[in-house]
Amino acid sequence: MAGGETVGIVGETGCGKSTLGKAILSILPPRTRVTGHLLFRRTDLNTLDREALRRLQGEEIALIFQDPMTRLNPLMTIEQHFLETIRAHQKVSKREALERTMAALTSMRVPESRIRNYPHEFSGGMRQRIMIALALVLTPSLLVADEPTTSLDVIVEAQILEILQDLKRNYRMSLLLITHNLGIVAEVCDKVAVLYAGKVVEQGSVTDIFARPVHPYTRLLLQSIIHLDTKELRSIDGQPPDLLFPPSGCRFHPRCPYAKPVCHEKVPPLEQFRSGQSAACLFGKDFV
Amino acid sequence: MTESDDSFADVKAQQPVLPRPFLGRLLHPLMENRRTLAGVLSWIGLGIVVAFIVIAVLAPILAPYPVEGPSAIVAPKLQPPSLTHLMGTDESGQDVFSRVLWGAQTSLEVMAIGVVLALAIGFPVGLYSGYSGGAVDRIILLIMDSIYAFPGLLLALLVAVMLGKGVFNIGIAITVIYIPLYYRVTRNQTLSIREETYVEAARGLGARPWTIMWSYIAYNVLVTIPVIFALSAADAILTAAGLSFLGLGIQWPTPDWGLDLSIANTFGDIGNGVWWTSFFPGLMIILLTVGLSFLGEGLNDLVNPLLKKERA
Amino acid sequence: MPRRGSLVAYGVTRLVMAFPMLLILLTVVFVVLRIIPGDPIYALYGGRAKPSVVMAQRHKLGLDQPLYLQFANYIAQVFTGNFGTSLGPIFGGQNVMDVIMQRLPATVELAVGSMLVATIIGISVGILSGINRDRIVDVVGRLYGTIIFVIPIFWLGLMLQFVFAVDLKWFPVNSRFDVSIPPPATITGLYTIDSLLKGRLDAFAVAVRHLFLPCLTLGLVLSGFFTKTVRANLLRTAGADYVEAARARGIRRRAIVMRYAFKNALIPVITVLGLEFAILFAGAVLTETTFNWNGMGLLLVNSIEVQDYPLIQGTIIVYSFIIVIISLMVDFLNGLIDPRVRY
Repeated sequence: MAGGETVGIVGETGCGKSTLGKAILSILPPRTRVTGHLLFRRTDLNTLDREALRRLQGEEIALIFQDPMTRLNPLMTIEQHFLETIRAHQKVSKREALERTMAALTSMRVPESRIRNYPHEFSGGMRQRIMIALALVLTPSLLVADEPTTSLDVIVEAQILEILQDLKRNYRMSLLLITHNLGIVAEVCDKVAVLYAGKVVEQGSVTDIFARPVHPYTRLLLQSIIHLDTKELRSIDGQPPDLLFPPSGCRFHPRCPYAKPVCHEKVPPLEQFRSGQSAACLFGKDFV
Repeated sequence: MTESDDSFADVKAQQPVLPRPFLGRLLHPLMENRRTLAGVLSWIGLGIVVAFIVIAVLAPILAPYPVEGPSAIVAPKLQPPSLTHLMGTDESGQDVFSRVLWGAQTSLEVMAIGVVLALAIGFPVGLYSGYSGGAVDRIILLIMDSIYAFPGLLLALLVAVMLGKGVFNIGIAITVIYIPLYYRVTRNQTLSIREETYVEAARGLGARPWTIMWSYIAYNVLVTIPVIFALSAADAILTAAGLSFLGLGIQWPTPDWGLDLSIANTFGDIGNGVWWTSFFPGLMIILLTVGLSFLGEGLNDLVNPLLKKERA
Repeated sequence: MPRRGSLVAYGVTRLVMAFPMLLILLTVVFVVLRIIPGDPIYALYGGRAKPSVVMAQRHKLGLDQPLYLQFANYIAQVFTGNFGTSLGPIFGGQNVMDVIMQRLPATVELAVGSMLVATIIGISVGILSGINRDRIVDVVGRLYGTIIFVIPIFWLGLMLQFVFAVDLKWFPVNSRFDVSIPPPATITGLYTIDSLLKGRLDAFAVAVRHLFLPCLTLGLVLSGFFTKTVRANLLRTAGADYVEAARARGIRRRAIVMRYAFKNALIPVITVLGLEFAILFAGAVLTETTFNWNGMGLLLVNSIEVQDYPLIQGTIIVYSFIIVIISLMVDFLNGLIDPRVRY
């Protein structure tokens, strides 16, 4: 990811999107086995000690969760949440911290007068705005948004998306948008990565992938959404695999209409098929 | 993709939760989880409870000495445990071991009367209160909550004073404590099941309240009862023993653990270094209540997550 | 008018709502004592007294009046604090309320001491168990919680007496104070407080030595309940969404454990505190009987033995008041910590 970019991560329910989001923030449950590397500004997050990691969390990388209803401590006021977060990272006076809190809340259109209220006194949409303000108050350089609108109604969803786009322009931060909604990706993102069973199967620019997908899964995914000219809605047969026991070889082979015997055995590497567009399919070139 | 997946899951969740037979819902998790801590505890608990039922039934055969009548005085009093008297003898020269075995009968009888009656009253009232809602519900709830807040032993003690001693009367005294418990559990379950889609569907199709209560809700509430049953049974045994210890429960010479402890306390046995007259009856109470608690808590761990999953 | 959701408004609402609860409790006591089949006087005399004696007693206590009059009298008695005079051989002729007030401090001392033991042991074992989930410490902690809770209080009391008082002679058996030295002058009636107020450290030590075994007995049994609730709720809040979100914001670990996990885990613990007090007072009756501790519980048991009807009724009513006051205090504490319940 480059600075200021918006990247979308898409995939079915249960393919590991949220797990990826939590992995980036290094907040997976204890005793989770982690393989692979997460590079942030050329540093592997796995190699950082606890305190260094804590400094990054919230200040450099922030996360917006899927379900705003349960993410705030019910026993603390909104003000306490902000002050605590700011002071966990920066040595500032209470007054300055308060000013920043006000600014962040105002930019999310949360009335300042409600700063002393408790989380249970807000609606879902309001709580999500508060969560976003809380994520932005330290102006992180990377914002991970994990399905930020799924649990909200359509009107609030539109508002939140608008806010996210504003942010991109105003703050120059990178945004990683995790979603199952391809429409949102098309609208907001520059690049997109398609996730299947915990692995990236295709990545590239939004225009390329929507116009000329390479991986069979991406193609099926695109066919399953409704267009103006849709005549027949297609769904992908079968269920997403159990991530504890993923299929051998290409993880998509049990559901792939083009699967050949070799797909059962060989794990396809992520190959570049066009400039800036790569896919993990053994027969990728047939689909180009 | 996901959109269609989710709506499919919705349809599945809307189907009624009725089909599995009652015992199956208990035994299945028990058989499945024999190796988890909760499973092991449940099985140990079940084993202990069954053992006590066997002891109670076979007490006439198992007990080496009689416990009532003039022939019950079999040895000099306050003999320490020996091979002829495994748990020693008490104040009146009776064999403690024999009394302790017979005591299982008394304890289980009192417990059964108390808990079954409490269920028979608390369950229908809770069902009605939870289903009908409104002012009636709130009044019953307030009354039950007030009784619930009162120390159970004191309440039972009052009733026992009024009714007098004896197995049946103590059973009734104990019933009074547990009616609010069964009422609460039933009412709360009813409240949540009342909102389930299949109940609403039945209502929409014009089923009568009576039918909905008994054919749709009652069964699903009943599934959660075994856990409460086991735990309240353990508590009932403790309360009954407490009443007897205070001299308000079972009357001598009926063999009863609480009564035997009470007699030992009255004569100051402990102060005289005589520990066996109180140690063994108490040990029996602990074993039986621990068995019931293991069973109740184990079942709670095994069955409740399943129920939550089914309803989710 | 206090703001909606403010502590004051909440406190006032609770106070108002405590009245119906008190009335219901008093009615329940009345129903049990007067309406349940069986006559209190007849039951108390066990059918041994002459009919003329029973009639005279009934008349004396107003039990031959119509029920509604009896109820009115009863409520009047309760709210004037005049429960009549004792009929028993020990306190015969004394005012019931005075007798109870003499015994109340002993029960309060026992209750507070036991609650202290129970919270310290219960919360520590619960936290140890919770943070070591599924390890051996946790298994031991859970077994402790389950088993200690179902041990009969009187049995545990007798066994502790046998080991620590009879065999090892570390603590005295029975009674609140040594006979050899005079108890401290009565100010509050609590021997520990009174001896400290009078600056008599020797008397304080004696009082504590007498308190130790009864409080340990009752406290241990009560701690089982705390252990179980603290453990379960700590596990619940440690995995809560807001804890995960706080970690993602880079909040320090200690702040998360205290402000997020522990504080939220405390709420259900406080809610069950009311229930815990109910068990405490029932347990106190048994503990007092076991240790011959001169409190309200022993007074109740003794007055049942000597068929002292006014004293039985008075003691139970005082218990009802205590229960209502405690449930009010628990509610208030809950409102203090959790803003959501103030509505």
